[in-house]
Amino acid sequence: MNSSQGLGSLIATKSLIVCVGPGGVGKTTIAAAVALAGAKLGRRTVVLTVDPARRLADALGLPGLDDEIRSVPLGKVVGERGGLLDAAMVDTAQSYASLIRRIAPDEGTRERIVNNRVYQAVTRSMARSHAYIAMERLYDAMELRDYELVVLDTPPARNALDILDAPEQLARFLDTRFVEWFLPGDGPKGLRDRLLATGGRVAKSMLALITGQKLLDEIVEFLDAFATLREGFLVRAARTAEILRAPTTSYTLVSSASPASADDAAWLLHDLERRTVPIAAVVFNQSYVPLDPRRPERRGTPPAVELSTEQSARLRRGSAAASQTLDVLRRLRREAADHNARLQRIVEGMAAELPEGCARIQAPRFDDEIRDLPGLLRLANLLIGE
Amino acid sequence: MLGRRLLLFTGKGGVGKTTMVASVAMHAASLGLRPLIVEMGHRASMRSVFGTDDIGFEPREVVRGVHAMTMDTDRALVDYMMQHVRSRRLARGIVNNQVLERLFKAMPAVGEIATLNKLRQLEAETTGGQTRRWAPILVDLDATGHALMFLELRRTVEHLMGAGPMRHLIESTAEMIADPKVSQLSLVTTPDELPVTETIALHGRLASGRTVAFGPILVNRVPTSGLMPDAVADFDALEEAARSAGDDEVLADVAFGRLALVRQARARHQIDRLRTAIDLPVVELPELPPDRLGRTELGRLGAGVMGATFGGGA
Repeated sequence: MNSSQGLGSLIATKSLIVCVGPGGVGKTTIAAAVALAGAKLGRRTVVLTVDPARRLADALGLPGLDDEIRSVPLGKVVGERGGLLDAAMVDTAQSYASLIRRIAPDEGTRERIVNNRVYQAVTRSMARSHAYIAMERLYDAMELRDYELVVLDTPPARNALDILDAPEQLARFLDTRFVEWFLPGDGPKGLRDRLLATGGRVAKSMLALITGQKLLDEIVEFLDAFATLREGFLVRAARTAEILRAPTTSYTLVSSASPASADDAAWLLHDLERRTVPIAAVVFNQSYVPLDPRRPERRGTPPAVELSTEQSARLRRGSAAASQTLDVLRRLRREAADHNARLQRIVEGMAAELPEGCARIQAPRFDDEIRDLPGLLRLANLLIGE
Repeated sequence: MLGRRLLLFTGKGGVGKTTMVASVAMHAASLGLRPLIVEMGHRASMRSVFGTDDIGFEPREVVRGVHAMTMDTDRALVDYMMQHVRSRRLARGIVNNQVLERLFKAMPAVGEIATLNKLRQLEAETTGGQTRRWAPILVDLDATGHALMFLELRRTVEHLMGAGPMRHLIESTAEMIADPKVSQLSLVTTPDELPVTETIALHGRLASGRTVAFGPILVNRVPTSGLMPDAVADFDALEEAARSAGDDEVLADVAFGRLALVRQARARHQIDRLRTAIDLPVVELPELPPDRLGRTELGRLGAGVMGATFGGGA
């Protein structure tokens, strides 16, 4: 397994690369490196991340990463091929605020929505609301802007695939018939509708019993205020669902080599398979410690310090302290080699489960050194096998 | 600490919460307690730590004396409805009701409320007499965002809910979590920038609201090479000698050592940030090998965490 099966062709040809994976494996950094590689290959690229990483903002040479799309000053880093890189961190509350500002037909509607308590509760809480807004941001980047490649970072494992469910859930929530159960309007027509309406009444009285009438009133108010925006939401949700399933979209799994993330990653793979979403590549991040920081690709075990050779003897003659330090250093490197061997077994165990044709890339544990654009570029190059 | 019935753990993904929770549970079991681990959502982490099959909604013994379960929102919702309608069939009917199902799937707070209710049930369960069936209950709260949603539920739904059973449940659970004699939250982090920043932010937000009592901060995977900062003088000497002798392997040793020192210094800096920002004891735990930990190692880690965390006769 090596970088000869890199991500290069995916990055050069796909329109959307979705990065999924367990938490704490450097997924956001990999997403940024994928996007940088896209820019390097001459494409107009944007990366939408979920983590407000100060270090990543620094690495991209940006004053900060927030909801607004910013242009990354690439300078000479990407060469002459004319690519560009933009970046934003999707902030749930901010994104909702600007979305509603943009799509509300008038100030009154906007006010009614943002002051509604259901709306506030939804946008303030995390997981599902994030998926809805990520969907909107994705639509915006793919359909309304002039990008050739969008790289989408997702929340950690458990919620990574929420985005795949979001369009349908939203559509179901805003479904006309559903909304009519809550909103007064024309009576139901057919038998099926009448039956469903009965269900709606039962649901309403049940809900009122448990939550109190207040929540119910707020829901009705929310749906009413939202009524004019519904059509637009449904259209965008439908289009996003298509985009997420398009052949020009590709899913990349990012995992580290710890047993816990390996198991989380296996769960994700299984879940993707269940949804018949093919996985195009796996990045095993932080999967070894470089034994020679000057040559990160080196992984073999260093020899024991040979006391008998003249060279070592000369080294040791210098000072007793330095000689002891040398022993400590060599021991640390040999332990690291042993550590790497264990990580490698975990990686190979995971790799054995991967479908045929899935690209595999191993990246060393150097992301804590990614503090500037050249550092990120090093990772980007590794991903595309350059 | 063993008088506390509810031990909550949270921290950014990937910092090793699950291992921490498992190790504390193992230690509690070795003291003759009846720990129950509650894992949120369908992650496979706990299964991975204990090397068992699926862990489902019903608590099962994963190692001697330690039970574990996975919180399943839909099942928890049925349990919740059951308490209000007293007929499992009707409860299922309501959960399967298309209108409510859509509403529940789209409304974020509902899953959390059902989860709280299940926790209350577990906490109140007895083995017949006065003895609680589970103590302590250890909750692996997953990522910090999830923890916030969970711990701030009262504030989130404050203006949303009229008087009713749901409101009552949220209020009484919030009180249970806020009672320092009953509950404690442990923040778990690694000595890295992002997890530390998140920990500081989370603590600030929760501390201002007096939402929950905090245990010490657990800093996992602190690098320990045994090298002291003054080793740099030796590095320089070794490097010079190695260069004149043309010993590339020793040059690699030195480069490796320098990087190890940089990593240690960075970790130290992050731990200092924590100590400056948060007035809580900090427990440092070393980096462990990447294999699955054996039971002995887990137990030992747990004893370390507990001894340092909850010692002093609490």
